[in-house]
Amino acid sequence: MLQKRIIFSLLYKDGQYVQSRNFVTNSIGDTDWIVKNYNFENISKYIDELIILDISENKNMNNFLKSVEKITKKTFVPLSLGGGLRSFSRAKFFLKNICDKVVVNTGLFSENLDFIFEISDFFGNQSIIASVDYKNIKNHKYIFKSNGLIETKIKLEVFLKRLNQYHIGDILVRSIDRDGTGQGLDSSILNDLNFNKPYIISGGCGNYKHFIEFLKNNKISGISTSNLLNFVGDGLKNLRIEILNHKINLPKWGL
Amino acid sequence: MPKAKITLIDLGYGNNKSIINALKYIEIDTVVTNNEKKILNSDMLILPGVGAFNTGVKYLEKFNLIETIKETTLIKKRKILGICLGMHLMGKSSEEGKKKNGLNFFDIKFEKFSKKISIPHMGFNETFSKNFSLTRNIQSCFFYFAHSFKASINKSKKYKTLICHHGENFVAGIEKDNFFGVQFHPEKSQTNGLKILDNFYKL
Amino acid sequence: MMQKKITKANIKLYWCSNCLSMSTRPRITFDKNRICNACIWNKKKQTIDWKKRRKQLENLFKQVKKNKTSDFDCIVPVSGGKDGSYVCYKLINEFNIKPLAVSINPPLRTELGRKNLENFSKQKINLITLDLDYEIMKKMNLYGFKFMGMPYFGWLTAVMTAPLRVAKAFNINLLFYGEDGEIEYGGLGKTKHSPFYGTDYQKKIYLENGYDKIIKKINNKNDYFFKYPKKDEDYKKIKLTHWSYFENWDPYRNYIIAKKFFGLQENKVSNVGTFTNFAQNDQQLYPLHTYLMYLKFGFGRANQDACIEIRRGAMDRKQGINLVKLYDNQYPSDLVPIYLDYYGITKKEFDDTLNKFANKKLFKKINGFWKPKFVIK
Repeated sequence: MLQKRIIFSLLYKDGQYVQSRNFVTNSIGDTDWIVKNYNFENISKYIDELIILDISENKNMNNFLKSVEKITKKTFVPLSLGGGLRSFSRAKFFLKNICDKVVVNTGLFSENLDFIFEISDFFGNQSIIASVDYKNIKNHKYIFKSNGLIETKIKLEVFLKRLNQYHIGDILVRSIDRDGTGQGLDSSILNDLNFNKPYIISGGCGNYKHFIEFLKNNKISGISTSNLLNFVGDGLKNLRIEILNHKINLPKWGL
Repeated sequence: MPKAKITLIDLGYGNNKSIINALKYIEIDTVVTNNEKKILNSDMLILPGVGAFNTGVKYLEKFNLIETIKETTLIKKRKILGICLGMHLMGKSSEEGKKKNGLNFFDIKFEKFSKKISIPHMGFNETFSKNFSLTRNIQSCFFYFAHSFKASINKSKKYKTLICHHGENFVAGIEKDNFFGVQFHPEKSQTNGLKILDNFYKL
Repeated sequence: MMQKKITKANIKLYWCSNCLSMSTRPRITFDKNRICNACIWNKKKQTIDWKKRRKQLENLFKQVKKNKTSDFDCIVPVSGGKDGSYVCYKLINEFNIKPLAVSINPPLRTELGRKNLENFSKQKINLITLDLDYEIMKKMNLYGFKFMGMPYFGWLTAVMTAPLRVAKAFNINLLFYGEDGEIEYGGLGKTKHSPFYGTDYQKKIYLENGYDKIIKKINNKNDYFFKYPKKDEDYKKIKLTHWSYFENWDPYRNYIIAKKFFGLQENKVSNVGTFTNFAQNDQQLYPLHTYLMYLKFGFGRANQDACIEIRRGAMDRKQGINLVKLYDNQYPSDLVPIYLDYYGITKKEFDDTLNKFANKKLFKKINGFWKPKFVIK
């Protein structure tokens, strides 16, 4: 039976890794801080996937990739990278040399979406994670792009239907309202996940309890958290143990 | 006698680094090449692959590898492990690439998963087997899958298989003599995956 | 000086089984399951009859409106931070009350603090900002630092004494402070059942009984705003209350409201000594205050913040422990030059004072820095 996934997301911004709250960030530490306080060589066996996003305004790809390499050294867990991706050549560079999947967010609103078809033709549709961020405004969910700064006036339900036609793999749906609040995931999202796709939801997870209720739902393929502070040290290990204790279908690798 | 190496067939795309790192971690040396001579002289082969079936066949043709691989495995009897699309390429054909044929090491065809289930099949899933060699010493067989096309178990009964379930039973692993294929990504499957690679090496 | 001393008798070190409040916290109590009174109160808050308390508040406002003595209904001491902003928001929008906001500019104000107060001032509210006698403020802070390990004692005093002066000047008889830390974060439960409290409570609890001693040292005729007024007719009329009596106090909720309606901004990095970035970031003496708290009692700012996060369900105890271990012991090295310059003392005097207040039963000095002898569990 297909297992649920716990996905950890790291947000990289100008050399620092950040904590995000409603998509406003504050710096926590640099690459060495992550190596010291997370130590993915050891901790990656407690998560199912790792996402690292470059949310810098002025992107320096070399620095970003150097940091990614240091953090993911000796890890054997699916790695996804993203941040301003809107070209086949950039995606090709990432997928050939460094990671397994790429995350496309603002790029989904490009005028020309050929690059998505090119990526999926070359690397397979499972190599693309489509990421959408939304806010609840007067009882409707509207999508925001560019790290939550620009409102698109497109409703989430409409866009999810559109995404169904694209050649993509996972769909990552993030709640801006809940992001970093530690108040739990937005349960109203469940009504909108209606096409047999692998949906990953995110926004609001502070502790293991927030994961359990949603992982039990058939529509949810995985949950992602980017709460850098709350899972420091052995936080991800304890998270997995607690979730397994609650009989959620999560793979065990000799834990 | 020098230590045996794994030759990773370089199709020119796909993340070879992960496989190389995984093998390095378990102290297996790798040669990455698409050179015919080097492949013919290899100890054993890994055929990796991501992406579309047609693209895979196209690259095999581009580097003139079809005959080379056949000679290395059918005649020289070297072991070969196909990973993900690599396994598809070892089959007969795939719905994904209608005009191209695979290497036909296994008489299996690949079809898309039924619409009743979430596609692609993404994430860790459990596998079962009675006789699949590569998983014989692995306790809880969870591996990482990422694919939309699969081979049906019903039509693979003449081979040793590893079974997985997503809407229906499908081929997660397949084996015949020196030919092995796995649908999942061992280099992405934590310690379980490392064991698969190690087992293949040591068989 | 009534500060809780760790003696051999009460050296028993333990942490609340629910949050991470430490047994060393002054006046804190625990039940037989070692759950602290802040957590017990936090649970009780879910079932308390808040409607009844709201009714009390409405009655209070009715009285104020009836006995109108001023154009303003009450005073709310603010800093531009989340709590004062929240209280003002509720008063104006929900109760139609006209508050006069009063802010005492802190010493060593941060740019963020200045900006947040400026954003606050741009709302539909009247704000009086007091810049008090710089020398007196500094002296009281210095005496507080040296004699009590309370480095911004002068400002803490002024936050309570100055609004009383303003109240008298404008004939306002009601003051709303935010929360009573004794109830919300652990301590005496005295004000749990009564909405009003007095200046004696302030002197004993918030000023740790140090006011009388320190104000005596200030021989300066300009100390009007720093002195508690005599309890004459005018001042007796003034009622002091905490908003947390009338409504379930939720620091995180306050932050959300302050952000939404008052333009509250957070720090772009975590505040010194903790992992949060949205509270108490208006003055540079605060990290010194919390560092001294850490040296005296074994818990610092990260511990306090973790307790709040645990109680609001954002993290569990184990997660809190990891953060406390990571952030609690932070000697504010970057700020030390600023402190020395402000106080006019040497580094030796500064460190000697810290050494004086470091609890030797809890800490030992290794390589020039105090390291905890205990391990939080």
